[in-house]
Amino acid sequence: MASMLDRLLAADISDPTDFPDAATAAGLRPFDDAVRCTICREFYDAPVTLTCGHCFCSACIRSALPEQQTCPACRKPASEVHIRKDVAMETAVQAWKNARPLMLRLACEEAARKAQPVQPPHARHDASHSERSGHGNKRRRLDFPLTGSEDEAVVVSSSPAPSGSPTSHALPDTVLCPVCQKQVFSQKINGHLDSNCKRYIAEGSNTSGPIAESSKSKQKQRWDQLFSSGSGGSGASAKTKDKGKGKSRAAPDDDEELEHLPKVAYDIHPHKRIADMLTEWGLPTHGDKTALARRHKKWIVLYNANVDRAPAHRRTLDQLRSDLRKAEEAEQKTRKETVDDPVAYQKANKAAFAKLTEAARPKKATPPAQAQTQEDGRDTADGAKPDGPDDQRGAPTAEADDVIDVDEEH
Amino acid sequence: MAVSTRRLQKELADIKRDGTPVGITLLSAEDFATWYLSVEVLGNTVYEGEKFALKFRFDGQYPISAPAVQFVVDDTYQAPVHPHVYSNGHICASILGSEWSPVLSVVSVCVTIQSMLASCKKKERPPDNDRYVSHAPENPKKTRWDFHDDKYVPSSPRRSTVSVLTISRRSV
Ligand SMILES: [Zn+2]
Ligand SMILES: [Zn+2]
Ligand SMILES: [Zn+2]
Repeated sequence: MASMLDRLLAADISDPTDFPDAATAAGLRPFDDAVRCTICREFYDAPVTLTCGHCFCSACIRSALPEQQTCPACRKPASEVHIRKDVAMETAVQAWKNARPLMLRLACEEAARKAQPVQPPHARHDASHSERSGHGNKRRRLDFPLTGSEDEAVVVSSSPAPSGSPTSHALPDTVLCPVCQKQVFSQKINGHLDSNCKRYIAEGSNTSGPIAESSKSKQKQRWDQLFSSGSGGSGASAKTKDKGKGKSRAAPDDDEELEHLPKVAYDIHPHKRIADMLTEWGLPTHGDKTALARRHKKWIVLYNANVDRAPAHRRTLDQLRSDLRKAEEAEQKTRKETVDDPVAYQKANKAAFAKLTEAARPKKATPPAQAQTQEDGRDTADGAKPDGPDDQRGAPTAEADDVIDVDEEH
Repeated sequence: MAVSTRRLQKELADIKRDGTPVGITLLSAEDFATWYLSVEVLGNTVYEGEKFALKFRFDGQYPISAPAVQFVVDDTYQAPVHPHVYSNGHICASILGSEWSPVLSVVSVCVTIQSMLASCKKKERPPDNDRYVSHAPENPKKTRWDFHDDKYVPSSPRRSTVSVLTISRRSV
């Protein structure tokens, strides 16, 4: 699990701080931030606004509002009937996604140019690592050494990374795409995701996911029946649906007047009725009533978010079904990983946890993220003081190589 | 990948890139199910010199659903003595329950709890500590918290306690 985590983290995560700070590229970070949803922190997908004016991805806010009928950002009362799509924002996001790679390259070149003459030799070594982000060593993207065993934790502490600890050269060139489970070139994972898993797939990559337990493959089969063109129960109904509502209702520029699906009060319906509702959309009907209701609810969120997309960006019903399937599988995996009995867990992991704690040495005073992101604010970080009362600066443990440094102080 | 995983991945990257606010340290994040962070209250407070650890547990619905957050109670760490913190580590704070917002993050929860501790003048346990602790569910999210103005009891009409003053984008 830890190595999966490392690989995920090693993969590029698109973030506003990819851009140099305001001193070098004024406005780019705030801009990149402004076109991201504050719930999922991705670029807006089917952006919609509430009456207060706050904008979210349609699917994000449609998932959040049933939990609490207020705007997540300002807490003003909100409800699904007030959701309006934000066409201008959707256009802006699309344009920015296209422009971003070039802007990033130009901005980072500018940062490198600015940094060049003043940097002492050892700092330039670091700068070469961080060329992409274009920051000095403080803000640079950290390289995550791969941990030796699955059980080892990613530990984050302020202790300096041991010299000679593995850095980027130890990272795999490819990462497993969390969406399509294919090996993708690490540097291109964002481009890959942006291309809906079409580009930058490493040759000869293993197309089957790393985790293939029997329950999952069983699960898959049931979903697979829907996607196969073969004859048989639910598969046939999926096909019928495509001929019916399917093709005509969700095809891109076929029909701009798509309507949102109404919410369903699952409590008042019997299992059979919910199964019928799923069948109506060509969705699988395995699982108990709760599972069926959850599946249908999620379907409505995905479907309605799709309605909020510009017709040109809309996904087909088959793609939506595939999205639902992936979401369901991912969630099942997460549920399995969630520790249900933390007391037993803590006992079992006591030794490991003690080591982690030890490894987390007293932190040098790190200014709040806010201060650090201000222009040159990072240079104030050296007003280091140990803020832990009890000095846990114990002897370096065997895990030292697995300690990931946050501050990178030099 | 679950939405929760991707969101947590971003939060972790932020932490690694920008660090954490003063007094807050990431102790471990082994996976996207459980994280530990330490919290200290800096300056002149009743908790001077004490260090606490918070355990976060996430389900696949995070950040739509709140994380389960509690203080670690073990050989190394104790729960702070505070009128909203039970001796088993459970915390009565509205942002972990009815006032949760999906734009909040692990770090913003830590900051809120840190300021909850910082504003404490007198170290004392909730009045119903013993009763609650003896029956408390393992997961604090399973407790139906009711937030009174200054008395915090698990059950009856709801008022907010620790409200979130700043819900904003990360400043960039
Ligand atoms: Zn979103
Ligand atoms: Zn709002
Ligand atoms: Zn992919």
